[in-house]
Amino acid sequence: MSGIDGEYLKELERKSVAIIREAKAQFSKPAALWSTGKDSTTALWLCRKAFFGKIPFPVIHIDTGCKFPEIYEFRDRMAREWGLDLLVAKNGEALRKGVSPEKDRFECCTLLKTQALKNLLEEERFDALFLAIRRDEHGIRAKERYYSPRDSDFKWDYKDQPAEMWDLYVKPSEDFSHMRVHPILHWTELDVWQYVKREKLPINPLYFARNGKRYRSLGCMPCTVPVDSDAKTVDEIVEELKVSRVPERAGRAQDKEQAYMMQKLRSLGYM
Amino acid sequence: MKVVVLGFDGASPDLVDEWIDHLPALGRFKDRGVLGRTVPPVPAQTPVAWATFMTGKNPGKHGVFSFIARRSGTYERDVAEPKKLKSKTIWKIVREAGKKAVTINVPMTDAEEGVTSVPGFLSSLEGVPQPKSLGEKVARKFGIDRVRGDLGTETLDRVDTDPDLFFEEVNEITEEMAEISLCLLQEESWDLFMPVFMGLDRIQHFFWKCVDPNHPRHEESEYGELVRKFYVKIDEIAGEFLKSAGEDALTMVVSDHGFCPVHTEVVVNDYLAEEGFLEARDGEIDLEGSMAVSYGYGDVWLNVKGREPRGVVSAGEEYEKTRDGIMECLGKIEVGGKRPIKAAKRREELWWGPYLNEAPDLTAIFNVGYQAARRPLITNGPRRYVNLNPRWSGGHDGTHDPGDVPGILGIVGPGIPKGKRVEARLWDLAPTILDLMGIPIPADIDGKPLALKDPG
Repeated sequence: MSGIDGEYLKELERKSVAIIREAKAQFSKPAALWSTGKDSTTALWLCRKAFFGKIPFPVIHIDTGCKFPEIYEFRDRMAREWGLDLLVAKNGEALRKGVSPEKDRFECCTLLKTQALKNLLEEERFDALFLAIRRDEHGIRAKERYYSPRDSDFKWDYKDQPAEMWDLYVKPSEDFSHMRVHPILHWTELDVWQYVKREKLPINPLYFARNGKRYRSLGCMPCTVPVDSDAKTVDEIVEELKVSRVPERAGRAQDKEQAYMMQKLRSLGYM
Repeated sequence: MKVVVLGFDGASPDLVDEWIDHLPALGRFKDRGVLGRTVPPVPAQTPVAWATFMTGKNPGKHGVFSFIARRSGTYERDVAEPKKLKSKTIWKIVREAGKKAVTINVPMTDAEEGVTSVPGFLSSLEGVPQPKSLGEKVARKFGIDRVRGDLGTETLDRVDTDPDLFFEEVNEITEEMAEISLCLLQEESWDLFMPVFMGLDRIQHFFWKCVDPNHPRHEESEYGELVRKFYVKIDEIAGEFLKSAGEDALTMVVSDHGFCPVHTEVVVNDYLAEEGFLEARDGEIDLEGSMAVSYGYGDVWLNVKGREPRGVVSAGEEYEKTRDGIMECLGKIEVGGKRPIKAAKRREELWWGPYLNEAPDLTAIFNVGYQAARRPLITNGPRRYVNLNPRWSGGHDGTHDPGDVPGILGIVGPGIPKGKRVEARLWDLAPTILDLMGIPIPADIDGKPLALKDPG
């Protein structure tokens, strides 16, 4: 990796660590969401860096009961290795009633993810949640929202956002439940993989290609579709992303271009 | 005359009518000019419809038939992209007339010599300003090397679990697009200026059920309100353009299609398999051994001897008999006592022109409420033949009857009489714009200029 890339990653890391420390200082009972995916595992790693190896708040995994076996294995292994205070959020009632994406995808997610988390937040009264949301495309206004307040119903009004200067941030008063904090909002997918490579982070094996396919993000088994790829290592994923989404895009291989477009059409629902 | 065209992908005339009292800029089109509807081509899909808009032609003459088409002479699926567009565009006609066109985020546009543009959806250059000098200007003014014209896959993949993030991002992108477009409107020289805003299309696919009380899965939620607010935002943008376009310019608003509810998806390939037109092994479609397959839009492609690498249907009589058989099979499909398919059409009944041989052999036209299941799949599970919970609750590209999903059309400016009723087809708009700009209309264009200045 060139020196410039190294400096760039260091700057991303510095900003994220600062956000994490600031949030920890401002809120009395934070927690982090962890899907075991690359983004939230990177965020946990940054939390460890922020607090010298030991994360001083609980880590929540939302278990929908239909995750890949690799997810549970990875979760339990890392929880041991990193000494995580792991909390599992599970909507047992909905699972017993037999909610499934075949019946209703929207309801399934709402009950098994959102409601499960809501129940846990009500019990534990966390006032801040770290989420590993990213922005892959950078906008013009630096209006990146590292902080996003949610009310008790998880609702949020985009018009009513606090000022983007997160360090000047003041809690909104009415019906405030918790603050969502996005410490890696400014990272792209490629940034994450380059950082994983640099830090030699452990990664869920589902990301690596088997039989010409790999997962780009991890979710529940029924609703997660693998993408075509031959990338079997972190290095190969970095290379794959470099050619598939360079900003200049001149001379990009035709099949990569088509693969990107297919992925977008799938995300939109056209495929 | 100079012309500004504001493209709002997927804007629905029904919702505009319903909310017109809250949309003062569109209200101005209605009060002082024209506000009506425009009928898209078949299929009413974004790449096909914008291609028809910018060429003034039916797909048989521009060569773009679908998001996903079969690559000629193969069984491969091709994604629609600008280089598949084979006809001259209005941008080129304008340039050849010695005038200047600026396009921003128009789907299916690429870098084109002599045209100032930010290529849009489906271009490999999406968001990268052309020529380079425009890129430098955008970088200097806004600090970015790409214009975000559309949502990223990350946010789209999360729409079910984090709809708030989806709305946040679509609003942000739209505001940025408006800011950049308004800046270029002031600073670039142009005779024809056209930005396209993609947000409404993306929003309505996922949240149509929230604004349609007749949708079987209708939900009264704040997301319906966010859809309405987005129409207000679009209207504010139209208002800004009306203010900035100048007294001598004419302003148009147009959408490539509208929307209808979708509650049930039909897996066309399951029916083809049942009637013996399609062969499958272990859940995989055998493309070489099948007589026909659908790639996901109600399009049906036959496997013809001498045309496909391993054709099984002979050209001529057998081809026609097979088409008749499939049309009959599709026509009699029933779901819960109702017919999802309104009609199945042969390609020559839908299109005409030199690229007709690249079109799907048949197209199923779906009734409102239904659409074809995407991806060329067959199911063997309990949901065989239909999916009662599609990810989308609104659609337009099912393939639907274009009359069921019309787009909006508004025109206001010098010489446009007020309150005139206009019934347009999407291919009428290119010749209308050329006519207004005083540029001769090429003879092979299918559309006709709208008779805007006639009384009554």
